Amino acid sequence: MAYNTAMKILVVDDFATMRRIIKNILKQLGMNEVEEAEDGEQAFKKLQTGKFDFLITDWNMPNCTGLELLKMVRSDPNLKAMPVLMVTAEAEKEQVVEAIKAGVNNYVMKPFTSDVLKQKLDKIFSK
Amino acid sequence: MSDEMDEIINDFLIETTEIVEDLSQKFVELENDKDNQDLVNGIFRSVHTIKGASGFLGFNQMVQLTHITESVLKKIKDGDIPLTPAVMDVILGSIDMVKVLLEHIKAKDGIEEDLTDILAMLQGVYEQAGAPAAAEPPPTLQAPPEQVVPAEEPAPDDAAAASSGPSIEELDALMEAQSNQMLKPVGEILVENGAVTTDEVEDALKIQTIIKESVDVGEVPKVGDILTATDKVSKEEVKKALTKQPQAEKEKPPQLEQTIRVDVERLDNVLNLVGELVLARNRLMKVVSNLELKYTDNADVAPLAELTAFINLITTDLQLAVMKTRMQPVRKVFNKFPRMVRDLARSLKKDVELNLSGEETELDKSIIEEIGDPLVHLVRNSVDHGIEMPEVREAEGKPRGGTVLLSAYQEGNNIVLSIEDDGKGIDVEMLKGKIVEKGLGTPDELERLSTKEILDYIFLPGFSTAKVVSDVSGRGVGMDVVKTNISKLNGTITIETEKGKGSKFLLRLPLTLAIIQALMVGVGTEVYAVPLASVVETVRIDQSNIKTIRGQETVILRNEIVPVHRLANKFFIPTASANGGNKMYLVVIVIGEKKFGMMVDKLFGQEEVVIKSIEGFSSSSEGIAGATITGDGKVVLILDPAVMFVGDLHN
Repeated sequence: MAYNTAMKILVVDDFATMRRIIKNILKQLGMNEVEEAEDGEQAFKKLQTGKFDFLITDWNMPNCTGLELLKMVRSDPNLKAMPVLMVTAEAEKEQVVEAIKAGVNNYVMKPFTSDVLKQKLDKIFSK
Repeated sequence: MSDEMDEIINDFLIETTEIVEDLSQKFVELENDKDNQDLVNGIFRSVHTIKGASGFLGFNQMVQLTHITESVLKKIKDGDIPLTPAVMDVILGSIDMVKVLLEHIKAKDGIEEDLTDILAMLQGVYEQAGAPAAAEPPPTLQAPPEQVVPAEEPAPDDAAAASSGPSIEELDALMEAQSNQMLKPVGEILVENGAVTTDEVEDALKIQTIIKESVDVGEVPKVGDILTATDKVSKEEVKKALTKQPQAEKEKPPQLEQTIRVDVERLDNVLNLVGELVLARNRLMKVVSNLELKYTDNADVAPLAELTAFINLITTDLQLAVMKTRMQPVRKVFNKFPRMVRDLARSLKKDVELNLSGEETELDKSIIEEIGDPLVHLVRNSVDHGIEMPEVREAEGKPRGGTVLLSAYQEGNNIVLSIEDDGKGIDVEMLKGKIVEKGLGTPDELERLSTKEILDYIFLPGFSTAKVVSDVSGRGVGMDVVKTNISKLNGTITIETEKGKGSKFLLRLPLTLAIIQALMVGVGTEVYAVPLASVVETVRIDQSNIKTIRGQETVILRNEIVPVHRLANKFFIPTASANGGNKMYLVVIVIGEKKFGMMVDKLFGQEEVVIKSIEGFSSSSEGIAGATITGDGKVVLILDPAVMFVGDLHN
């Protein structure tokens, strides 16, 4: 089963430009149902509305990091099945291991193109 | 598409510029508070963020620069490199280069900076870290890979990092193993429960896809619904399956974005329109009040007056609301000072701490933009001339380190910015000597002046108290320029000082520039507007009240001698107040600490005026701040008494 382009996606990054870049790449893949959050806390509140199908989060954020968000999602009974893609940088590979252990569905390293993102989405949603 | 790209780059520029401004301050804080891990993390994250976004946008030089800066910061974060002032200089240098690169991106000039020097310096700092190499080779100086090309393969540049952690392959393998038991859709659960077959789920998914593609927006039926609708499974079964799936709370209203970015031009346009509206409102009110007097019996007049009062109220609120959209915190200006003071103190070999307070105080954008230069000058002045060398301070029983306090606060309708230092203060006696030496006054004259008045000489053109013009403060811009710039903003500047204890410069600025309260005065048949901010009172006087002392006309107001200037003479209007006569009015004005009276024929009262600049007219030198249109449709000049009578004040 492939991902569908109508799914509602939450993009989390403390840097607005980065959110916009990711949104733009998603748009190239035909996905327009995208909302944004600035950090883990805000993201978690939004996720609790239950309307999101997919979470894309940055790793390195103030207040509540991507990993903390992931852990919160996985331990929430309503959200634990949420597919999560972690955006990282190549210097953060150690942390990717942590994220995988915490149950991230996949990770993507900055900078990435729409093709790379598509491959990741295919992997996540083919399961 | 390219529009989208332009917008993203624009966002990037705005956001990165904010980050960089913030960074300079954080670095200076860090130098004083080296163990503040939060601060280090924050700085690291900022640089990391810039690098990340630059990678996406293909700003290769930026990636190159921030990459190695990030590596150096990581070493600092991990405690491998001590944060010495020399290291700080290099890092600050790299932040400066980031700014230069941002300028190129902004200008879209495609110019590549020569990064060799700064990269080599950063590399040098990086390598100075104890026991390097083996575990983590230094970041390479080569250009990062083409960023727009899909980077599925680890880029060569990543080699450094790759060796420090698991390889991409290992990560992916780990990923595979781990993620097999993740996401389970409804269909799958139903199949597991034996309620439906895999084929039936596939069919339902196909139906869902078809519906989705044919309907642009709106509800796409859930797989479970399709299965029940096509009688493949009972509603109960789906419910059962859904309980095993994360439960979605039913539709809550979407959370909207809290802020939007608006082009300044649009805001300026709105402000301009509101200005016009205020002018029209003023005229309307005048017309209506005339009608009210003329047609008291007419039944239509009362509702008209009522409506006008309402429009008046709304216009005032609207004006305030629009003004608020243009307000920005002074933090925007203050942010550059920690870095500046730090560099300055280092080059002067002084020990200076800069404290900021009231950064959240808001001022109109145009004032924020103009206030930077005068503040830079004053802060420089405090560090250079105010704060003494550490040895001198010690000898005088002061702490070796001097303090400069830059603060902002609101005081009535004004914002006050103050620059206070605990340095040597201004030696008024020395200042007097200087005034005499420059031929600006005689010892006799100076004897009669108050300390405040003597300090005001500092603001005269060509006056500088430094014996040696240093490369720091004496840059050809004197205090007179500071004063002029502040006056242009309808602001005032005053000095408080105590020898040996320090000095304090106070800038009083209006909240906004566009609309002011003015006193309308008449000379002959002419009407002028005087900014109310500087008017303290109005007095009716006769020619007999005026006494001439040493060629200067004065009046005695409550035992105080106040010099009198005739506005009529400024505009060469032959009228009563020019020649003497009875029934004249004196508008008492205070500029800074100086009080004087401006003689006029008539007073018309207070009015809110919208300042319109007069194109192609050298306004400041003439003492004209601009023009406005009054309630009765007349064009009226707005006076700038500070400039208009400044020549007279020192004669």
